[in-house]
Amino acid sequence: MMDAAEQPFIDIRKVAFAYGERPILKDINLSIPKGKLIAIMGGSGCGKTTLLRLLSGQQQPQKGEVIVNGQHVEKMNHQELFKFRRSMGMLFQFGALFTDLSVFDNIAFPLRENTHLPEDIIRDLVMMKLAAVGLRGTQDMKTAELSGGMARRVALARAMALDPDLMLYDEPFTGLDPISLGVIAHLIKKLNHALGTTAIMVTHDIHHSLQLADHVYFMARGAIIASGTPDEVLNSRDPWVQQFVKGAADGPVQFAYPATSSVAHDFGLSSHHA
Amino acid sequence: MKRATIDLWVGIFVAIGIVSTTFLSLKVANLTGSTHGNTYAIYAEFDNIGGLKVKAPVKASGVLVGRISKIELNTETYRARVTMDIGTQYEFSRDTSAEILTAGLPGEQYIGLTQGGDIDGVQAGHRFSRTAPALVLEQPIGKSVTSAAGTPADSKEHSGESPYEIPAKNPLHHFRYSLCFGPEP
Amino acid sequence: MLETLATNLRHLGNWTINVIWKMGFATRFLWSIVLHSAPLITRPGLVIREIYFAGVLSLIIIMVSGLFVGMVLGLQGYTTLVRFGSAEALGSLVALSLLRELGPVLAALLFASRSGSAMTAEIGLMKATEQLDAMAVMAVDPIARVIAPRFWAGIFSLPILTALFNVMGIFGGYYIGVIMIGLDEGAYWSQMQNAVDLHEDVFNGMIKSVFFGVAVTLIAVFEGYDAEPTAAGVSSATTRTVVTSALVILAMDFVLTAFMF
Repeated sequence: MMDAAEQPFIDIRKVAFAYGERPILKDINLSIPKGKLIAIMGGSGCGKTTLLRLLSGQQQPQKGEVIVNGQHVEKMNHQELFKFRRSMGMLFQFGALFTDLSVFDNIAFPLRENTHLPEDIIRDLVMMKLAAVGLRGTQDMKTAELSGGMARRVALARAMALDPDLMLYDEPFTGLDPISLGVIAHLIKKLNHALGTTAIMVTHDIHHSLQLADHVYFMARGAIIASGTPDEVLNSRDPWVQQFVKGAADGPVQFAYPATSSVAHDFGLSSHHA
Repeated sequence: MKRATIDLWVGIFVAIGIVSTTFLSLKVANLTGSTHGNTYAIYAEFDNIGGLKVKAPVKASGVLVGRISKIELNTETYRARVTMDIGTQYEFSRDTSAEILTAGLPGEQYIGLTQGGDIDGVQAGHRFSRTAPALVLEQPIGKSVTSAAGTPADSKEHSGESPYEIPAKNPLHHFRYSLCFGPEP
Repeated sequence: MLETLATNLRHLGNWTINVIWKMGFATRFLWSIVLHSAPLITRPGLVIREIYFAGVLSLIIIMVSGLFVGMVLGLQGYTTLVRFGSAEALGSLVALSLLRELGPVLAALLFASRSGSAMTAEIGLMKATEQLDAMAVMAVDPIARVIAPRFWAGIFSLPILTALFNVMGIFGGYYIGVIMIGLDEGAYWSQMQNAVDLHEDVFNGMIKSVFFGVAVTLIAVFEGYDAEPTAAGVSSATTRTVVTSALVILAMDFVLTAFMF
C-alpha cells in the first residue's frame, strides 16, 4: 500500500514500550503515507492509546524509532517537541476543552499561543473553524452549556485550528448518540480531505472506521496482528478479526474469565481446595 | 468573569494590603522608636541592674531621651556597666544621677536621669558617677521580714527561707505602696 | 499476631519512603515551577486572574475570622489580665499574639482550606479530563500556563491576607476591650505601640506569612498535579492538601519562631 519511491509520512520502526515492568508494546512496525486516514482498532489495554502518545511525543519508547515527516520524535528535546506539535492536532477522547474558557477562547487558544496574529485575524479564523464544524453562533457559550456532541465538535475545531499536517484521534466516537456520531464521522472525513492531513484514528467503532479509513490495523496484546483495507478486513479469514468485526461474544477472545478454581468449588461441593 | 472586573478587584485587594501593612507599621508598632537621629554614648555603672534590658528606655523627668544600647559586667570593679545612647538634642550636666526605676508593678525597668546642678555639660563617653541600683524585691522584703519577726524561732538563719511570707503586722504595706506609685508613671 | 505486626511495620516503612519521595519530588517541582515562570513576566494577566481567585475571594473568610479571633483574644485576655491588675496591657496582648503567631498561622490555615484545596481540585480535575495533556499537545507548557500563575498568586496573596487578618483582629480586641468592657482607649493603643516593635514583630510576622505562602501553595499545586486522574483521586488529593498544609504550617511555625524570637 506504500509507494516505494515515496517516503512514508509516518514511520514507526521496531517500537517497544513498557510502563515500568509491564510491557505494553512489543515490536511495532507501521508505515503510513501522506494524506491517508488510518484506523487502529483493538480491545482495551492493547496499547493503541500508548501508540498515539508515542506519536505526539508525550511518551518515549524504550526501543525503536518514531519518524514523522522525516523527524525523529523519540529523540526530540523539549523545545523541538513543542515546535513539532505546532503542525499536529489531537482530538482527545472526551474533547478535553478548557472548562474555564468560552468556546471562542478554546478554539482561539492554539492561535493565540502559537502565533503572533492580531486579534481580528484570529477572530476570523475562529469563526471559520466554527462554521466548518457547523457551530456558528456558539462562540460565546461556556463549555458546560455544550452537549457531548457539540463539545466534541468544538474540540475538533480547536485541534484543527492551525491546519495541522498530522491529526490524531483518540476514540472520537465514544459516548455519542447516533446522530452526533454521524456528524463527527462526516466532519472527520470532510476536514481531513480538505486539509490533506495524515490522520490516525484509534477507535472501537467498526462501522465508522471501516467507512472512513483507507487502511485498518488491528492490535492485540501490544502487537499488530492484522492489517488491510476495509474490504480486506471484512472478508478476512482471521478468526480474531472475524470476532472483532462481527462483535461475537465468544471466539479467540474468550467469553469466560479464566478462573483457576472449579465450578464445584464455587458452590462448596468440592472436597478439596481447587 | 470580565477581565476589567478582575483587575479592579485585584487592585482593591492590593490596596487593602498596603493600607493594612501601613496601619500595622504606624499605629500598632513603634515606628518612631526605631529612628532616633543622632545619638551620643554615655556610660553608667550600677551595683545591680535588676531586670534592666538592652533597648530599655532612658528617661529624664519621664520623657524619653534615649535607649540602652549595651549592658556588660565591668570585670575590674565587678559592677554592671550600662551604655546609653542619648539623643544629641539633650544635654546633661556632669553630676547627673542615674537611677533604675520600674514603670508600674508588672512594668519594665528603665533608667531615669535626674539633672544635677553642675554648669559643665557632659560629653560623649562620659561616665555618670552617681547611680542608684535597681531595687530587687527579695532584698528589702527579706530585711523587713527578719526585722519585723523577732520571735525566738525566727533567727537570722531563717530569714532566707520564705521571704514572701507576709508577717501579721505587714510593714510591707507602706513599702509596696512606694514601689508602685513611686517616682515614676 | 507477629505477621500483622510485620505487615504493619512494612506499611509504615512504605509510607515513610513515600513521604520522603514526595518531598524530593515536590522540591524538584518547585524548582521547575520557578524555571518555567519566565513567560509570566510578559503575561501578568494570568497571575492577576489567579490572585483574584485565591486572594480576593478569601477576603471575607479572613476578615470575619480575624475579627472573631481578635474578639476572643480580647475577652480571654481581659479575664486573665484583670486578675493581675494589668488590664491596660490588653492592647499589647492582642497585638503581639496576632502579629507574631496567630495572624500568620491562622491566616495560612484558612488560606490552605479555602484557596489551597480549590487549587488542588482545579488542577486535579484538569488533569483528569486531559486538559493538561491537551495543552501540552498544543505546544503550551502546562506548568507555565496553569501551575506557575497559581503558585505566584498564592505567595503574593497570603501576606496581604495575613496583614488584613491582624488588622481585623486588633480591631476585634479593641471592640471588646474598649467599647464593650470599657477599658481606656488611649491605654489600649499606647501600650500596644510601646510593646510592638516594627522589625521584631510586624516584619517577622510578614516573613512567616511569606514562608507559609510558599509552603501552602506549593503543596496545593503539587497535590493537584500529582493527583490520580479519577474522581476519587482528586477528592483524596484535596484532603491531603489541607492536612499536609496544616502540619507543615505548624511545624514551620515552630522552626521560624525559634529562629526569630
